Amino acid sequence: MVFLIRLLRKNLFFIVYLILMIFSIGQVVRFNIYQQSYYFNTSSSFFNGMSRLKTNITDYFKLAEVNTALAEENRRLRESLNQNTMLKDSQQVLVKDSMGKKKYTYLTANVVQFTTHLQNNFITIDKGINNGIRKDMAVLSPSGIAGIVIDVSPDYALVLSVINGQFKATPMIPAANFRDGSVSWNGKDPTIIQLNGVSRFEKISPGMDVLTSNYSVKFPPGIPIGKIQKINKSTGSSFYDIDVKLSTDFHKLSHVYIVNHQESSQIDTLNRRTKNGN
Amino acid sequence: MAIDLLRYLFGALVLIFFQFFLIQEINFGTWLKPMPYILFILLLPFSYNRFILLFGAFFSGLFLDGLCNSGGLHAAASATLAFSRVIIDNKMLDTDAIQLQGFTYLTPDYKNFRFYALYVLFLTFIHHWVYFTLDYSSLSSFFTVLTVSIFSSIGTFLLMLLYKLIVKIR
Repeated sequence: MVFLIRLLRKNLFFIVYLILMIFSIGQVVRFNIYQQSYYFNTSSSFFNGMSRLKTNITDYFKLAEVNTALAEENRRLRESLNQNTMLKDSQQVLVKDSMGKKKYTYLTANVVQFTTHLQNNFITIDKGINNGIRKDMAVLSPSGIAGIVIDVSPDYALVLSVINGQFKATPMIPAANFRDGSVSWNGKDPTIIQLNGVSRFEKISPGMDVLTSNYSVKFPPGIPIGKIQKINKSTGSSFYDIDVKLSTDFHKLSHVYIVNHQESSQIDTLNRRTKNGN
Repeated sequence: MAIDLLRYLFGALVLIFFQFFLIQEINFGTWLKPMPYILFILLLPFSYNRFILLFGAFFSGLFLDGLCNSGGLHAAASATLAFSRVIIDNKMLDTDAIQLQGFTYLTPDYKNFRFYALYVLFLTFIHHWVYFTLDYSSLSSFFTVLTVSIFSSIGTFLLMLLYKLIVKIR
């Protein structure tokens, strides 16, 4: 016993260091696996207040870029207005029923905090349960996709950013008539995302638009992900490695839209039923 | 002693906010992610208890983690940095002799600049290596982690020198 105490006292510094290390590595693992951190849940008021202060300052430096992005988005939306289109062929009749049900509604939020320098990047936004935000809602930036809500508190929500190793989305390339594969981030460049699962027989070329697929449950179809930048042909594989230039500039994120899928609960129920084997 | 400790606390806060408000906002590139806030751990005097060093580094890391929402990355890396500084100071430097010469911490004036740069770069590299290993958290990216750590260490060192030039530290 005396020996043990002497050993403990001799190595006290190392043991204290070990305990601190275990605590902090536990925090990292907890944050990476369960995507919730001690700070975000308990002491969010102080740290979110600090982040708010920071974004209040840095937002001014981004004004020009944010305005350009919003103007570009307005242009895109104006182009897609119904009054701009004209029926080409008398055979094709576009049925627009005013009695139709709205599938997606949108909420706006300000970005309180975001990171781009980590491997697992998150975005904190200033809307929460009180504003109708729920888990698994899609988040869009004015120019493209931004992430998925993974945790909500009464007034804030934590968003899994596109530039996070755990993010996945289903893309489509309309120009090549391709609707398969997945996009995910390899952790290197926060402006580039990787498109996997495109077979070598697909006729794709750099510059093609990559959009969210209509098979995606969370994201509305046709939201820009980015443009194909580089197509790498790795030897011994029947798939391309494709680099896609993200349309969202994550360094300049300040306003986002949260997508409320009106029927997401029905899809969830269906998925759960199949999983349970009923 | 107490006044000194307060001064160091203030310095640490300034460096952490400098990191949070400015350095984190600048996009240096994919390979360069400098963290000059660790300067204050290197500036703590030799005469301080090693536990003050360890806990000081750990809690400042935890504070920055809370600000950056990064789990415990900075806390783990800073604690390791403080731990390795204590080990290196005890095993490789004659701290009593250095203190007798009138230095409270290691500066370029002691011996020469190359010695100082080696000391700081080595400790910075340890911090960055722990940080990026936990951040990437996969063995397959070992060489990526190594490259990022080396480049970032050099970047951090240069920023530290710049910071020391701008803010005259006693």
